[in-house]
This record gives sequence, structure tokens and C-alpha cells, in this order.
Amino acid sequence: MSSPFRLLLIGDSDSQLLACEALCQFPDHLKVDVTINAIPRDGTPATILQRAQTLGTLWRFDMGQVLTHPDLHQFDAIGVYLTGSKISDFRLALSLLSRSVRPLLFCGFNGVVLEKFLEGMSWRLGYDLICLNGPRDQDALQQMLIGSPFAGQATVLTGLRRNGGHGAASIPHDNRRRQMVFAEQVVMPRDEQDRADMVRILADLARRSPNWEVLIKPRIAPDETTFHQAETHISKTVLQSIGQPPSNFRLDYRPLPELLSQSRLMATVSSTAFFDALDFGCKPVVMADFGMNPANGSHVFAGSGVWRRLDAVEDLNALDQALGQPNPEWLAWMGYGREWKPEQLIVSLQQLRTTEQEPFQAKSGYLSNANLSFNQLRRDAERAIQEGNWTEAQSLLKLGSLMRPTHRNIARRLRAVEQTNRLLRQLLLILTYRDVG
Amino acid sequence: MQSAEGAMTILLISDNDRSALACNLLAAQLRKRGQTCLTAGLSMDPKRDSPFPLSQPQVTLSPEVLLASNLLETASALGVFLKQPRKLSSFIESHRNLAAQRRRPAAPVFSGPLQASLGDALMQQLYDHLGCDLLLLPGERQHQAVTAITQHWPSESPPPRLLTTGLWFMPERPPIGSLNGGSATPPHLLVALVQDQAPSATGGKSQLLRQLVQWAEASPDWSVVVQRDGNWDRGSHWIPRFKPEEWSLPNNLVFAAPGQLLSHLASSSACVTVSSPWAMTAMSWGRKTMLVGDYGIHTNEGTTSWFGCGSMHRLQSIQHLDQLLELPDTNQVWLESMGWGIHDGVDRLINALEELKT
Repeated sequence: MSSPFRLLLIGDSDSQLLACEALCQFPDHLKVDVTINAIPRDGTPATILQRAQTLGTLWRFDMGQVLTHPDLHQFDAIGVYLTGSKISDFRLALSLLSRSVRPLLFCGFNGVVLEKFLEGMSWRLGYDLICLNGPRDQDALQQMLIGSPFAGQATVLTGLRRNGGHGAASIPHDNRRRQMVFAEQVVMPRDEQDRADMVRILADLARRSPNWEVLIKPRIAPDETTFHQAETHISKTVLQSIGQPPSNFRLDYRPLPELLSQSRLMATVSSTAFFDALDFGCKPVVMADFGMNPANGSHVFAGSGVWRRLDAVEDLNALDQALGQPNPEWLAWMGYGREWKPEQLIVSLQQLRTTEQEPFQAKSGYLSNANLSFNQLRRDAERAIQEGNWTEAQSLLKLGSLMRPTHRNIARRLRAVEQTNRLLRQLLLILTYRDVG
Repeated sequence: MQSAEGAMTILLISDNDRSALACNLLAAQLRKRGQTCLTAGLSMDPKRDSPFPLSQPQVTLSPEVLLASNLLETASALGVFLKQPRKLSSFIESHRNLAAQRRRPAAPVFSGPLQASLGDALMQQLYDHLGCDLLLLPGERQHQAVTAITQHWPSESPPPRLLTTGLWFMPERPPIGSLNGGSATPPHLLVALVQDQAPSATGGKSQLLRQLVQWAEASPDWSVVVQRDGNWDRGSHWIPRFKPEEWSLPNNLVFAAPGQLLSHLASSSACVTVSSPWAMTAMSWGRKTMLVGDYGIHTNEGTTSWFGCGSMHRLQSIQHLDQLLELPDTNQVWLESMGWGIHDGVDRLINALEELKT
């Protein structure tokens, strides 16, 4: 009997942990033994941790503890789902070992990439394998790397079918509740007026559709955090925009899969939950009310075939009847299809294990973010300090102190941000400030 | 406006120094091909200095006033290049509404970004220009990216027609006498193209200036010109809160006088920048060009468009400016794909405008 494939997935923010969860759909015959390490952070939703626990072993080590864990090298592969420069820093921290004695390293994106693809990819170059959603990402990467020393970067398409495709076994459409779930995103749209308009349009639609319920599924609860920082929680936006909501309109904090499996419709501006809706047999519609603005991801979702202005919809009965299935060509382009699945990841990793892959040859004139990670890490830490994001600053500086244990300013800045007394922290930050450019 | 028989009358509208320069360059190319052209736009803001040579439009009128004038009625096509592209959509809408009111066909509008961008910046440019009939894109990279994202857009929200027209918005070559740039032997000229937006981190600009000072001191047979790449309030410094008395600048390092960006590039031996779009001009003119790689591939630093150009180096890799002359050439495949490979852009534009008439 072959031994199991030992897989470690490391995530920090909730989005990254969701990406780890979405990968864990491996068929039994591959015998994948999953460990998920959720880096401790304040505000990570408990439900996400509970779900991660059901997928295998759950670790809660910080970055330093993971990197020095005695079992780390027992894994066949490590999937790194961290934010920003940490994704590159982690690879550098492990790459001191040759590939024959260290686990294979791979990374990916959490859901649909709506912005900063080139930047995000530049942090990921150099990993043994990069997971992409589908042909859209693959074509963009090919354009990006053509003629550069990074052109040989190995990739695999793992798709956007993140819930195993329950659609076929789900409740038939006509037997579902007359219910539309709106998957809120923290920063899309970002503009306060657009967010208020968004809530008002949904509430007006609820008023025009008295035999339906409109549920807003907040991305996070008021006490939780995600990768993006929201200034105003959606519950407050509701108050600010419509005051008293109609009786068939409310916020609903139940898990999205539960809501999607019982609702007829799911609306979004540009959330990856669009594809989750399809998995759960719920008809998605994309809110076109904010135009084609790329800041909202609308330029990507406009091609979905179900892009509608909800303020122009007569009522939800009319929308439900008129709304067809998403454009299959767009779905395939995005990576939603049976041919792209997480199983491909394990197959590709096993192939990589048996092939000799040359590391990138440095070539004068070609840089990626991976080449300058330490400086960038310090700048990112300073930015986090300026924003008062102490968890992020601590995480970055801890990683920095691991990469450069003798770097005195990194150690001092870390001690400063770890200080819980506000005044003392401020004083230490002033005393240890260095211009990092 | 009088036009030769069969020739179109193209009105090119600008609203600042950068777009006026682009319109004048385009007008010259169009006229060379027998087209009748008129440039119109705002006069230069007397409180601001420009790095570009004076490009006064032939007719000094704001875009809003132009809308009400009869110039638009006599134009066969409008090239509209506004500083704030969001004003473009309201201009186009007003133009079409007025034409409908006057029961005349609205002259087609073409526009496009005045630099070669990729990634989020390119998507923003696409959004900013959605209302026009014809969108001018520099190169194949931009065309592929825009085609990919718009291929599935619904028919009721069609993208503009796309046309790759190369780097028409900058001079194709330096003036005669400067084709080869600075002399093969010292003294050499380094143009440091500095930007308002990058480096974005606090203290980043001072750090970059310190580096330039260090290079100038280590390379006395070079002159270093610090050249701002966009207009500025007269008397304001590139570095916020810059106090000249706190800096000891070597004699061979100066801040450029207004209006000299193109002449400095023409006579330079090398050019260094974080992400100025004018580095594309330096590359196209064959000047040794260094993109400062220390700030990474970041949307905020404007460096994402330069990934793969083959000219990105760390500051620490240069100790003496002579080393700039030894840098490898820019990746020509990349440069051509960003627009340099298209040299008949104006002919393509004329053909596309002819087709739009029918």
C-alpha cells in the first residue's frame, strides 16, 4: 500500500483559510492527509476554524513556530496562503534547503482575482507550483512572463468549483424558498455612497417583492476581521442608508453554504461566492448598478451573462423567471468547469517530485518582488504600524526577525508593536523609528 | 474649417500640457498624411511649470466651451484627450446629445491613454474611456488584455472599438543631431525622471535624491539632471517640505529647468526612474535606461507595467554612473509589445476613422 500524501496548508486571514478549505476536495484514492495551520489572529471567524478542523488536523502555530516545527519536513508539500510579502518571505525562509530534502512548496490565490494580479503573481514567482483558477489567469500569466527568466514557472489549474459541485443533488429550484441572498463584500464597492445605494437598491427590491425575502449575508460579523479592513460594518450601512428596513429584508449571519442551499437566487457585485451559488444549485445574478468600474470587479463579472441592474428589475418574481444560466464560455474562461479541480494539484505535485526542475536563473534587469522581500517586508510592517494594524505589523516583524535574527531594529520594532500599553507602544515606536524608504 | 477634398477635418482637444503635446504630435503626423487638423484646448496654467516644451493649441477654448461652439459641427472626428478622463464621458454624452438636438450625426470620438500601461492601470484606463467610439491602445499587450476582459461583455454594454496605434503620444525619435544621445566619451548626462507618486513611502523621495547625490559625487565626469515628469506648482519642490539649505548638492547635480524634458532625454547617455512613462521614450530612443527595482512590482509605485522590461535593477548595483552604460539593453520583444513595434499607428487611425464614417 502506498503511503498517504502529507499536505500542510498554511493560512492567515479568513479568506486564505477559505482558499485552503476549498482545496481539500481530494478523492480517497489519492490518500491525502491534510493538516491546516491557521496562524493565530484576532477576529478570525470561529466557524472557519471549525470547518478547517473537520478537514484534518488543525494547527494554531504562529509563523515562527511553523517554520521551526520539527515535523515540517515530514510533509510532502506545503501550501502557503498568506497575505502580501509574507508569501514570498515564507518561501525564502524555507528555500535555504534543497528541494530534495524539503517539502514541495505551492501557493495560489483565494478565489477570483479582481485586481493586482501582476503584483500578486510577482510575490509568488519561484514557488515550485502556483495554483491558478482557470484559463483567464493562465493567459494573463503567460503574457506577463513571456520572454522573462520566469517563463518556466510551473502552474496548475485548480478551478473555482470550491464545494465539490453539490448542484445536482440539491433542492430543485421551484421547491426552494423565495429568498435572495446577497453576498456582501467588504470593499466592493468601497465608496460610502455606493455602499449606501447598494443597500437601498436591495431594500427597494424587497419592498417590490413582498412574497420574497432578501437576506444580506455579511462578509464578517462586527467583531470579526478579514484581509481587507472595512471602515463601516454593513449593519451600520443599513441604518445609515434606509433606517427602518422592510420586514422581508434582513442581515443573516448563517454560513453561506446553508443560505445558498435553500435560496432561489444569490446576488453579488463581484464575489467568488458567485461560483459557490452554482455549486449549491442557487441561481446567481450580478449587480450591474455600479457600472463597469474595475474598482468593484465589475469589468470581470460583466461577462457572466447574468449582469443585471437590480434597480431596474420589476420584482424578484420577474427576475427569477427571466434569469437564465450564466454564460458557459465565461464560466470556462474563469475556471468553473469539471476539468479543473484540486485533484490536479496533487497529481502535479507528484509529477514535480519525480522531475528535476531547475530554479530560475537570475538575469540582469529582471526582478520580481521575491528579490527584495526583506526590504519590502519592513516597508509593509511600517505601513501596518501607520495604520495601527498591530496584528499585521507583529506578524511581518516576527517573520523579519526569523529571516534576519541579528537585525536589531527589526527586533526593537517587534518589541514595540507587541507592547499592549498604548502610550508605551507609541513611545517605543518613536524611539525605534528608522526611515526604510 | 477648410479641408482638402476627401480629407477629413479632425479636431484634437486637450486640456493640459501633456495632452496638448500629444495632440500637437498627432496633428503633425496627420497633416503629413494630408489630413486637415485643428488643435483646441485650454491655455497653459500660468501658475504651473511644465516639463514639456510649450504646446499651445491653435484654438484656446475649454472643452465645455467647445461643446457650445460650431467647431464640433464641422469636425469629421474628435480626438479628445483630457487630464481627468472621467470628464471624457460627460463630454461625449453632451456632444452626442447636442448633435441629436441639432439633428446632425455626432462626429465619432476617439481617445486613449497617453502612456503604455498594464494590469489595474490599464483596466482603469479602459473604464475611463468606455464612452468613446474608438479606443487607441499602444501595443499588442494592451490589446490582448483589453480584448480578453471585454470578450464576454453583454451586447448592451459594448466596449469601444480597439485600435493599436503605437507610441504616437511621444516623439518617435530625438531631434536630428541628437540621434545617438550624449557623446561616446565623457562628460555624460544622466536624466533622473522623478515622479510625484513614486516612491510613495514616507521618506522615499529623499532617499532617492540621496542616492542621486551619491552617484553624482562618485562620478564627477557625469552631469545629473533631476527631471520632474509632470507639471508642478511654480516654486514648489519635488520633495514635500524640501529645504535646500539642508542639502549639500554637488555642482554636477541640478534640478531641470521647466520645458526641458525632451531635450534632456535627447542629449542624455542614460536615464533612471522608478516608473515614469517617459522611460519608454528613453528606451525607444536607445538610451540606457534603469528602472529602480528597489520598490518592487507594485500597483502603487506604478512598476507593474514594467515587469519583464529587462531594465529593472537595484540601486545598490550601481556605484559609479559609468556602470549604467554597461547595462543590458531593454528587452526588445517586451518594448515592441508595449507599442514600439507599431510605426504606422497614424495610418491605422486614419483608416479606422474612414471606416467609422461609413
